[in-house]
Amino acid sequence: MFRTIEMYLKVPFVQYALIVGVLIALCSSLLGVTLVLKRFSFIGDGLSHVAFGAMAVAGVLQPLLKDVVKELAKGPTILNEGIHGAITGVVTFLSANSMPFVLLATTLSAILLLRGGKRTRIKGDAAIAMISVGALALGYMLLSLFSASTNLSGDVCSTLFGSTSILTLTQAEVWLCVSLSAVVAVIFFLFYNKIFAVTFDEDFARASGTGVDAYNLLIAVVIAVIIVLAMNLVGSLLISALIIFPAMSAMRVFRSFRGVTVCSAVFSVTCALLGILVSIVFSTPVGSTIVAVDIVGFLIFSVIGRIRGGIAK
Amino acid sequence: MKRFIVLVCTVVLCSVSLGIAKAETAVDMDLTAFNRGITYAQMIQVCNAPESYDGKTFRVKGIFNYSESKGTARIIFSDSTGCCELAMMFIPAQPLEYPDDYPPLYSDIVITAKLAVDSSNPEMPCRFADAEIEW
Amino acid sequence: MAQLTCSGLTLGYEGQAVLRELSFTVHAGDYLCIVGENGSGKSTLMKTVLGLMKPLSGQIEWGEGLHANEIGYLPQQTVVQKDFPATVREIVLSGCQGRAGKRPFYSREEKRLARENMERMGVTQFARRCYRNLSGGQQQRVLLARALCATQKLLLLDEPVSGLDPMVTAEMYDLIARLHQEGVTVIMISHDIAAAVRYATHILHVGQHVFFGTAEAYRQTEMARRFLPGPDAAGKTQEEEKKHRKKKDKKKGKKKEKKRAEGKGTAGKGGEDE
Repeated sequence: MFRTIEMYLKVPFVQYALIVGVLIALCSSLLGVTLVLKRFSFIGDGLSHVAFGAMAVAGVLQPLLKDVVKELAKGPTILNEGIHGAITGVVTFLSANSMPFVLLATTLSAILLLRGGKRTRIKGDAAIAMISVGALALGYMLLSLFSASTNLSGDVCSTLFGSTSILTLTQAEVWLCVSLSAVVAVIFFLFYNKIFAVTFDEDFARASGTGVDAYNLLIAVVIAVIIVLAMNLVGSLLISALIIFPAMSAMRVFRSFRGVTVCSAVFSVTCALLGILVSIVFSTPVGSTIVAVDIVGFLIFSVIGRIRGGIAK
Repeated sequence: MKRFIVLVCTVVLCSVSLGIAKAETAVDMDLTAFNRGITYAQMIQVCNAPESYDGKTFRVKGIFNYSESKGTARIIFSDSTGCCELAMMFIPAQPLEYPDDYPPLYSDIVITAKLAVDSSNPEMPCRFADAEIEW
Repeated sequence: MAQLTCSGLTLGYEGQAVLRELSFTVHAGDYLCIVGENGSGKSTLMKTVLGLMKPLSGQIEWGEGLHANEIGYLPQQTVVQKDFPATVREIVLSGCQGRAGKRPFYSREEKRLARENMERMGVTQFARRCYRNLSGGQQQRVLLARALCATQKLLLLDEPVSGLDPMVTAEMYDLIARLHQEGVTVIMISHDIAAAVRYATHILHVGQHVFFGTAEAYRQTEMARRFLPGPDAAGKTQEEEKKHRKKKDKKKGKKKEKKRAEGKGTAGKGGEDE
């Protein structure tokens, strides 16, 4: 079996898949600690459904945008050559890549849901559930009405469950994922103390002059970015697992916020690596395999936590 | 003595010609060791950027399909759950009659073929030519 | 020097006023207790003063030399916090966030401050322990240490002793009194009027009747008499207390109370007549 793994590890797109997968798992776990402690775990699910809906809309709009590009090429020059060229470039880019639109839609929803922090207006699990399921249903309907794809259910299935998306990333997508993940990791590192303050006690942070609203906004945007990236790894429906399992497992065993954060990251990266390797070797879907490894890890950590709690008091 | 020399020459000639034949049909990308999912992913990567693989010889496993309406043979790659598929057209090295010379529909086949870029068709920009089928 | 001046404050939620036209001043070194019935708007007042809510009308003025990041706040604990995975040290350090501003990491100075405040509150031995494994009283002391990291001048405490047992409550009050003696201005919301009157220099009573003044003056008011236990605590004479009780007893006609007032006249259950 090791020789099989060796063979697969030599393949370039497998290497990219491992790198991107590890980075995405790392970022999700870091922000996952904050989300879980703020009791916002279900938002990962809600936002990922919005992302799915946005992808459907983008898929419908892309043929229209391609027509616009053709018109721009034929028609009169807008304003001047430079601006015309820029507009054509942007529209061409958007017609071929759905990620910018999906990022925008998901970020706006995240801001709407999370910016208020404790005082969010669209409060309550019912409101988030409405948005989440509505986006999912409308997205699927749009796809079935307007999609030109030859394998619609395959596309939907792969977006929802992420069977091989991580292995079929283009070079551009790989670079985008790597750079966004790096940015998220750096942001988390720099704002660690502020994220802690805002997560532990918003009222105190606000009263002592910390710009809580700004940090809530930052957290919302970062989470949206992570969710859109993670769709490539585990698919829309399973993103919550990447966010929740590492944090919950770490909290069973560690007592300090720093310990929980670091453990969460290590747990997530290890499970993602194992999951991707197992799925490559045994030909199982990547997303479900990673979640299965997460579950096993969580059970192991729960047992460790119980033993420690029993002995040390 | 004569018979011995003839025997030796025959053996040498055979091995040399086999050697040459092997060199001529040397495969650039042998994907037969990969499982279904990785084969599928690799072929997707190839079709995303076919120019860099143009003219290379592939040896791949897949499922055979034939379109009677278009008269074209295809090899299908699918991922582990079968939810995503890639169908690539292949043209046999020698002209074959359907259905006698072809494998049964939806059977597992291995083809050794050259990749050809087909820029006229945006849906399927590459296909296989000079294909040898094993089943 | 006035640290905080509120004039004509009207507070409430979504247009509904809970308190109207409230005016009071807090000077440096004061110990102000905010008392009143449940739902009378004490927490709302504190949150408005801290800037967590907007007043419906009126003005809040801070004295010179007092910035938002120099106010220490001890809020009521949330469910989330009781279960939070964080060490005592991490929590106390987070009190320095206000003074850290845009800087990502805490300076050595701030870490020293956190250590000192943990000493002051007597929680240094818990520095590496998890917050959720501490008792209620210990948790409150940790949060108080955190508040002290944010300020050297002004502390706002929202019911710091709620849910604590009597001995721990007394310890907490002593701790706060000690801080007050060290020069910190204290503004505290409390349900415990007896303790409030004992420790505070000023009382702000909100609710149906509003009173703001010194603790002495408060003791003389009608409100205080309703809430406070007996003549010793209220500072009244036994005779006055007898008269007061007779009036009440006439209204209610409780013979038992009469007998007690006649026979003993010591710390009774004045407040419970209501």
